[in-house]
Amino acid sequence: MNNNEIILEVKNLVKYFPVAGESFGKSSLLKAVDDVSFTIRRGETLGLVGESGCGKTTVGRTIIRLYEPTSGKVIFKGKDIVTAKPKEMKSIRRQIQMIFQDPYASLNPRMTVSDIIGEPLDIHQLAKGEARKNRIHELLHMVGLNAEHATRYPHEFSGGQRQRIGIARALAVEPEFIICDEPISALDVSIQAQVINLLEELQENLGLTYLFIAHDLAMVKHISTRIAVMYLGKIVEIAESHELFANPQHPYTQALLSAIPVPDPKTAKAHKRIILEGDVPSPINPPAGCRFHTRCRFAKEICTEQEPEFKGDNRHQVACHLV
Amino acid sequence: MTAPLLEIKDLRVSFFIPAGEVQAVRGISFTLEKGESLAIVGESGCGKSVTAQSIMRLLQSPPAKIVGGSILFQGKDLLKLTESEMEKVRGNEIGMIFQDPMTSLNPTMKIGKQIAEGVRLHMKVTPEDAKKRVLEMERLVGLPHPERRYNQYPHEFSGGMRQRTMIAMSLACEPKLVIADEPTTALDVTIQAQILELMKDIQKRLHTAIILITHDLGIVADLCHRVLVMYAGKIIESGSIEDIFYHPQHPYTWGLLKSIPQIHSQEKHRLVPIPGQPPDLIKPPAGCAFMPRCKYAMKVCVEHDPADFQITEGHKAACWLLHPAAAAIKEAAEREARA
Repeated sequence: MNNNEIILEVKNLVKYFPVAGESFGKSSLLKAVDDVSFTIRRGETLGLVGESGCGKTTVGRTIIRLYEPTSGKVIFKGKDIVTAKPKEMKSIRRQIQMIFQDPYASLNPRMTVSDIIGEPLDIHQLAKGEARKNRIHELLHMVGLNAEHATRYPHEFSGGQRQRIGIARALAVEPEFIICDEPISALDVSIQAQVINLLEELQENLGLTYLFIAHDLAMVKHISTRIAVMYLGKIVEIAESHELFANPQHPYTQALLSAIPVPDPKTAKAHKRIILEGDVPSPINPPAGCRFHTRCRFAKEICTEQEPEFKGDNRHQVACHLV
Repeated sequence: MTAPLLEIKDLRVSFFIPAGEVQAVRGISFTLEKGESLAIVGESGCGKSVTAQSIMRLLQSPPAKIVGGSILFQGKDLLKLTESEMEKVRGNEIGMIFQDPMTSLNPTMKIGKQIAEGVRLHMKVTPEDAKKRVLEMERLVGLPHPERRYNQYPHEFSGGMRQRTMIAMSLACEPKLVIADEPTTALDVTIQAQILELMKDIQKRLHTAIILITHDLGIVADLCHRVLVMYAGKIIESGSIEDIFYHPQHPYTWGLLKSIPQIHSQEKHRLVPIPGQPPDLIKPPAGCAFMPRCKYAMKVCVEHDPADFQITEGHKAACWLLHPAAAAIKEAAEREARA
């Protein structure tokens, strides 16, 4: 297996949502994702972080065309997903799966676990009868549940177990690439670690590639090979995981990292936080130039006028005028 | 020594639902000194929020019922007060900050009026003075343009600003104690940092005692003096933040600390999750509630609920490993937990 093979390439991805305007009859555009590009190599985990409303979830959903992109390309193993026909899309969706944030809302309460996990097998006609049943049991076993869980309903499970069911459903079609959209945010701390360890084991055993979307930076650092930081629809910095934490370049990344609460009293007391003033501006009418300039400690005139370009090498890229 | 500000003795709270009695809080006792900042940590369903709501007497009954114990606040038992006496305590002597600023503000009422409501009720001031007080509070919590904010509605505020409003409301009558139930859980990290700085600053200036309820150990390390760790309706360990972070004694506390990733470490190591899940509190186990998930469980843990063992002044844990007879196992377990 070639480790440098690029499995997914996102090129200038744009997703605007129309929203009702301030005055009647006029609609405006919410620029959820605005010209985002990145690549993911086979077998790695790319962490995508940012605060609510920065567009990270929209990126994930647009990649698999749960939302139709406004423009841009999403190239999966050499094929553009954006222009793929419905038939091709079906085969692509077999290779790209998704794990959702809310384990309560993402499982149909009226279906048994066996039906939930079996549904993708039926859709893609992968197994029938006895083979289907065996496959379901195998999948349950893979995610740390057992065969007797198959006949139960989602409400009989805890949050962590439901997330395991969601993972089993995603694995049913033997995907190569999984988009994990905040898979642990709804779980308790001790359960989060269980699910993260499971995802890591599965990655090792099955050679999976992950796009890991989350706002918990400590967890993202733990699981990711590389991390991309988003702010208001744009990626502002992308680097290898350790490099980003050791040497954050963008003022937003610096503030974001310094805001993580440190679970160690001595460090926490000595730790100086960079406090960002105010709130994130509206993505309906984002600031001109660098989108972060309204909250940036170092903003200069150029930042209000010109949009910064990406600078740096393959290991570390940043979009800021001052670097 | 003067009496503590708050003293809770053997508090028991149950929810009576068709399936049976859920024993949410199963006999907890603790004290809080004036100006002290105490954290209650634990996972969903451990009883931390129920404890907070019992102090404020906000639990809906039925299904909830305070089955036993006492809550002494400045010497008087809050559980014995009538509803109208309790109203004088709520918002006046004890303030509360809720998790979700979106649903805990009245959407049809102007922000200024909402903050003023408590002031008018408890402080017996003229409307003009109440407004002055509100503007002063808005400034204290860092709401920009206080005059303009006064006449706005909650939907015009961002999550961070709403939480600032909640804090302003909880502090407006200068309470001696503020209970903050997951005050930053619904907020983004950079906004969380703003709110934590604000709470730290206010505590320094006003010397308000704080009970902070959270599941995030990072926030605790920064904001609090003392920590109670709760599990399945009981306090399983309590001590200063140094005790809990540097000399934890209970296997559950070890588990909590080991299941969070270390952002400052260079090499990658596997997280050590706690296997299984918390027990069902309709049928709480006879022995230690953590036993089924505990690696070091012994025979005694199955049948007998562990007693509190005093480790040092102010540091207690409820675990049989601390019994002198288990010294050898404890030592081995501790070595492993440190590794």
